[in-house]
Amino acid sequence: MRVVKAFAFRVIPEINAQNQVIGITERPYLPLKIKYPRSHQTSQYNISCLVDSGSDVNLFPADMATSVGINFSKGEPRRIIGIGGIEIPSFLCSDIQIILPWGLKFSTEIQFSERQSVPLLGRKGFFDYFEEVIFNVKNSSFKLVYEK
Amino acid sequence: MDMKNTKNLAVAKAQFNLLFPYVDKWVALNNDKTKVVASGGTIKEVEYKLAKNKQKASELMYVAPFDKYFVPICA
Repeated sequence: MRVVKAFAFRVIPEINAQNQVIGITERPYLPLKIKYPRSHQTSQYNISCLVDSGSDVNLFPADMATSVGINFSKGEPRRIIGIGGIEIPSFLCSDIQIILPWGLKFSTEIQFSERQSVPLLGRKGFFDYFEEVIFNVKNSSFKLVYEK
Repeated sequence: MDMKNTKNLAVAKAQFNLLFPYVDKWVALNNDKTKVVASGGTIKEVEYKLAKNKQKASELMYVAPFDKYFVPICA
């Protein structure tokens, strides 16, 4: 069965140097929990993550790892290159479950970094779970499509 | 400006008023996401405050700066 879940983009204010709202940016955020079966711990609350087609991998703040008992520094060391060519260290951790608000869950790998603030859902480990990830800019929404 | 943009600008101003004091922090939002019920520098700190004050939250989010954009520029 084909399942389609739709979400509205979040409206983010754009401000100038005087802290006046001068426009908007729309971003595709998705709330989710993570579960680490080895520690039997699950996020207490949904955490808002950015659905980022420009990101190769899932990259979460290290704080999200420790909140569910993941000793992220024991993961495989990796390097992430991003904005401005800045390189940050990260640790690849496997066998983590992503739990979406309607109950869909799947096991994946996530890179954690102490230098990352916004949790990013990337192509490997998130997008590749779905048949389609559709961004509808005119409707300010995105859809996740998968087979159940 | 069309109706959609006018509405979105109003939403953006409301978001600014709600979240600007919490830029670069984690916040917990109430069910309709109109109120910050706890904030802190880390997720753990926010969870601790929620538990301590026996408050419920629908979602935790990091408040990214409003004067910056995300662009994956690689030098």
